[in-house]
Amino acid sequence: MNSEGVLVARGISKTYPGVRALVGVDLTVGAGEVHALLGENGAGKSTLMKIMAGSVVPDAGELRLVGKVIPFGSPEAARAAGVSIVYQELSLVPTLTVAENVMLGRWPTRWGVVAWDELRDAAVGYLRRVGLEIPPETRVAELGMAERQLVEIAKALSVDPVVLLLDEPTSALSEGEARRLFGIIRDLTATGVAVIYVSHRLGEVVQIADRVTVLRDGHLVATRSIEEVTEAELARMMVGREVHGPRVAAARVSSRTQHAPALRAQRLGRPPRLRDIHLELYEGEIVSVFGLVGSGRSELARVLFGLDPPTTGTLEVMGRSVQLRSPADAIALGMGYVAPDRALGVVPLLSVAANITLAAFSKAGKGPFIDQQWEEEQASRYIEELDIKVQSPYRPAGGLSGGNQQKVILGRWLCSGARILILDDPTRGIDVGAKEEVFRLVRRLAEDGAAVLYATSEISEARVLGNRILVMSAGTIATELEPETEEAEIMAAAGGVRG
Amino acid sequence: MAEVARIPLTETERRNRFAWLLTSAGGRGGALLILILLAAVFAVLAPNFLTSRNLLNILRQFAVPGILAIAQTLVIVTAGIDLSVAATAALSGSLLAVSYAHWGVPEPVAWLIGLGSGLVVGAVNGFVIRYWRVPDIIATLGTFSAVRGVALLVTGGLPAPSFARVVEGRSLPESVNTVGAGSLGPIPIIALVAGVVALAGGLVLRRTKLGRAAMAVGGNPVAAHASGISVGRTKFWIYVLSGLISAFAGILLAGRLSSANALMGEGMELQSIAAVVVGGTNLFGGEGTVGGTVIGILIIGVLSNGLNILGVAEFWQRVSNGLIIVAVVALDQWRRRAGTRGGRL
Repeated sequence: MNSEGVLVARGISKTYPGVRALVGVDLTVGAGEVHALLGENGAGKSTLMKIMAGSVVPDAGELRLVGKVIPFGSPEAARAAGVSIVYQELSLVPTLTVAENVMLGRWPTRWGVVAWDELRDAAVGYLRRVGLEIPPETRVAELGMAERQLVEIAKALSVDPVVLLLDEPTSALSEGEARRLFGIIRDLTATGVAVIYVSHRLGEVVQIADRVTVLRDGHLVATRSIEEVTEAELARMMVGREVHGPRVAAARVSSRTQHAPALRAQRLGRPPRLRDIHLELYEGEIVSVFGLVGSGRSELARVLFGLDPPTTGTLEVMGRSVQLRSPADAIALGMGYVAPDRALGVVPLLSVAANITLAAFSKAGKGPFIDQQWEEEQASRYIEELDIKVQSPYRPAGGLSGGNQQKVILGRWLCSGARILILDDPTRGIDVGAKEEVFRLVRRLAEDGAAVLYATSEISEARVLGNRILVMSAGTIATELEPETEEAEIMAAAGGVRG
Repeated sequence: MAEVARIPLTETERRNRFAWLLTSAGGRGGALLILILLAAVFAVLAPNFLTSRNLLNILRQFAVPGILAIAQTLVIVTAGIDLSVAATAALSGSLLAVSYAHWGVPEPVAWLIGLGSGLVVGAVNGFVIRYWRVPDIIATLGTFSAVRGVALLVTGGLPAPSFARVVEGRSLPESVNTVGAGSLGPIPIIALVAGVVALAGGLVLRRTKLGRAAMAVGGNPVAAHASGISVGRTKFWIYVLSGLISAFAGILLAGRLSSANALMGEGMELQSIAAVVVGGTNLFGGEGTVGGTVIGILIIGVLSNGLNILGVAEFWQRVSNGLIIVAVVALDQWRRRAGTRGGRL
């Protein structure tokens, strides 16, 4: 690590209407270093990334790359100087091949036509650097999330960057895939590339980073060498308060034998991706569904909510046999659903208030009109109850941070009076503090009598939240475990290993 | 708890906030400015522009395209587009005239036939889009042509009422003449009616469940679906409403022209789209304001009227109309970028 640093940012400030996103932040990143950027939602880390990548213009500050000042506000200039970014939302063109995507915008030509073999060879070189062994003619649409992520990184490498910015690169990856990614990052830094790694997964940061910079409310809290700090210290720096360690399952639910289950599935399925699901979910309990990517975890959530209607088996809601043909059916039965991708949940141009009442307004009284007063009441109630940070309920929801958007969607289901909540990885891409809040909310909902199905790819979340854990593998429920079960045993079950 | 720092606004913030106000007004701020600017220019250059007679004339002339633009706004908010609005207007006006004057049906029945034809066209659009999954632009391109054809069949290609075929000396119903060509004091009734339609359209968009569903469907169809809103049903009813409003506009147009014909209002579908876009509504759906559309149609009206008074030849007017529409939208896009530059996108 040289002391000068290949990338030096000085006094970066950025103000949005009413919010100071960054206040005089300094950052120095050395060649071959993995530098983690940590912070809660709205701490300013995304803004800082975007400033470095040239897509946001700061109000003040200076950015130097290998000693040279880079002009702000020009992605082209940043790229030419050697800054390459992989955004959290992937930016691949699904209908093009892997090779075409890797070299997007820089296809080699001969006599004015694309030189396909040259394109292919160049792409294969970059794909090899990220350890991806797939035919470069494969269309991106056919790839899984993990492979897409790697293609995205290969694409970022194809401009031969000095600094690679990774924004939450593991948010869509399983733990094994994440480990593979770390290996690849290490290989890259060995060649002198500096990596700036934005994440909220502390465990990961401790594993991969050399140094870490923590931001809070737009201010620089500290930059530390990773050997000097513990996870707990980092968590404290991020939130500015004590974070409670994982608390193993709340009190066991006693109501299980009292009523019919809120939700009962028998031989439910949607082959080929989901089959033979037997499931009982009671009011007042949280059932975790743990599964790796491709285990059928997300598919189960979608089928239960009618997004992909089940094609086999039977489903009972509150003891009544039901047919789900669409989410509207599920909502009418008192169900709610939170998707892992917030973009699938909020309508960004509609106000926060309208987003909260979106699943309820059709039921709110007769007549064609939406009662303005009712809407205002509902909005203020859930904004307060869920502590959604927004200046006015009439601001567009698209302007909110990820965690707050996810809370808006939870608010939508509280507003619609849902009693059965299907949550699919609701904390993906949101940080520790916001996660804690979501956990707290989920627990409270269950205490208030809601039946919660909590699908997750994080073992710790499955254990902390669930009254019991259903482990999925190969499209069906492999086993049911107690939340006290060792992580290794849960992982083994998810991997299809028996006892 | 992660506090969002609430601090007094700095100068940049204040500017940003102003820009935000402009953008959140659906671009109305910018369009309004352009309308005022245009009017000011013509007031100086064209001696007869700023007379109440001329201004009322603009309102009279652009009431019908304005109403069609209201219908178009509702459709565009759902990320759809309705190319059949003007054809529907022509069919409805023609049917009303033919059924009343040629077939001799009672006046209310003629109204019902006219308006009913709009409902049918809208329902056909909605059905084809919802169940046959034909893209909106293709479905309404189909009705754009077919509906004019039906109108030609109904009228035999002649203006209606046509002298040779009228029964017992009938012409257009008196009510149609009144709303189309009458005045209340100095104000053309047709302009007042257009104003009422605009208010109603705004009310639908802002205050009704259908309007809210339309915004959600246009803004994020996946989220709307997952919230129990039927994308297909919402679009169906929006197209039906668009058909109904267009049919009403067609009856007004017949009244204004004192006669209907199958080819009347040609080109108004494009005018209506232009008005919506000039008014700052996003062509990709999810947002839009009727107020903006009203300003949009007024810009188009003032422009055409002003150029006429200045004696600019019709051919040149077409050229300048096209250029100015593109310029206004380009300006609006630029202003939006300025408004959200560095915004959280």
